[in-house]
Amino acid sequence: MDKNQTDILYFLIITTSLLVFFSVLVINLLLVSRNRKLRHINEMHRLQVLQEKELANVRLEVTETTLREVAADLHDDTGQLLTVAIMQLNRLSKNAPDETVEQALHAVRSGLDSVRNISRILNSDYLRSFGLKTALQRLKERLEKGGKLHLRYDLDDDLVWSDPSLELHAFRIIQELVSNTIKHAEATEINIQLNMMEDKISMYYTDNGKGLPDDPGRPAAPGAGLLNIEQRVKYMGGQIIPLQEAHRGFHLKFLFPTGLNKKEST
Amino acid sequence: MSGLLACLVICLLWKTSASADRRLMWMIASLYLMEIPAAGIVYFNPHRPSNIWYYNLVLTGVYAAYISRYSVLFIEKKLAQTSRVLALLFIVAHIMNMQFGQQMKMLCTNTLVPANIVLAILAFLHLREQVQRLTEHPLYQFSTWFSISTFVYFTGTVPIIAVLNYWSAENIELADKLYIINDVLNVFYFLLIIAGLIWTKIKQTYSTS
Repeated sequence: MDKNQTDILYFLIITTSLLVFFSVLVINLLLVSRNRKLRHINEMHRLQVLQEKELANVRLEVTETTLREVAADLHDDTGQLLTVAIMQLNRLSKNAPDETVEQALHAVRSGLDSVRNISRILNSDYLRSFGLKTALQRLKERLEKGGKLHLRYDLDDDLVWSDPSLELHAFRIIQELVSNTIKHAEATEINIQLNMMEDKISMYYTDNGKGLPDDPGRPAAPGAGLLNIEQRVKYMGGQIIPLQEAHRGFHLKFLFPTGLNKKEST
Repeated sequence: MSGLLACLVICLLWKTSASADRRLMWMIASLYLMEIPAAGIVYFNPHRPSNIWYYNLVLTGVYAAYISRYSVLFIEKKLAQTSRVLALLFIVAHIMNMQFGQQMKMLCTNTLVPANIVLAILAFLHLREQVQRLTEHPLYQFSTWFSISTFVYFTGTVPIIAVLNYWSAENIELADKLYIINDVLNVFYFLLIIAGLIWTKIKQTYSTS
């Protein structure tokens, strides 16, 4: 083989090697561009989730502030007015004892108790200070005053929320569920059970009402209350697990984390 | 050796593979198996180039099968139809070339070189399509590995096939060296296929367990 032919052979080897190299490079570029695209999509998704969480957080904070203001107004204004009314009725009762005045006094006292109870339930600071058990007891007292609906709750003794705001959200969810039961279920009994499960808290909510409509032709469009619940659960980083209804009524299970994931929630 | 190894891996994974992958595996195995009769022809008739007619005939089927396979692999209908038409065009052009053009005495490179380029392009387009599907990882599918190896092999062999006839006539020693380059690319092709077969099997087993 002369030099010219050797050169041609080398040229062919180099050309083939270059072609193979470039084809490998092209494949690599395709895979790299795919990874970049995926990273970009993931980043966009992460930002969207963050934005949604931020919005939900703001919305929940606004709700809590409004509720706190309503609670303060109820306690300071309506409560004050009712206290004055009680004082005047007391004076009237002492000066001229009368059964009608006594009945009015009793009614106004009940009204004042009710206003205080409502203002405590609405006030997140109160809930934060006294905890879920006390708040549930207040709710139970309020509900059972009507005499038609009984609320039973069972909370594990070792129930610990590392973030107190989650306790408040859990209570608001219970309030929303109770409100739905009152409005739609025609139930006579509500059962709430909260258990500690390693790093999670499970909550069972059941009532003995009508349950959800099982008309397959009608899509179950969630109302504002359910959307609110979903939003709170999402914010908490929890889960809603619908349960197979063995008996009549509404059955729902929730799984809550004991604390907020700071990385996700900020 | 790498071809034989690839065939062994194919035999081992045949039962557990999907039918679409089996077709690709069969095509790959046929690329190796076609060498056995070629070697037999040379053994019984050592006079050069005794097996060129055989390669011309077998490569018609192999190239047509490879090109038409992309009509199944492509998701985009236009590309699938185009590959079907290209396979048909290749068969017609190659038969015409064998009959009236370069004929059976030499390798019909006038049709094989364009077919090589077409296959490289189709493999690239399929790879691009696979990469654009973001729901599944492309490397977890055997068809992607098939296209990777096809793209590398058929791109790399273009210059060799283009000059093969000329150097077979001019300098048989140099032509033999070109066959060695082709063999190296063949090894690379089968190694990629083996890697793809094992990798996709591992990933499928891992994801189902």
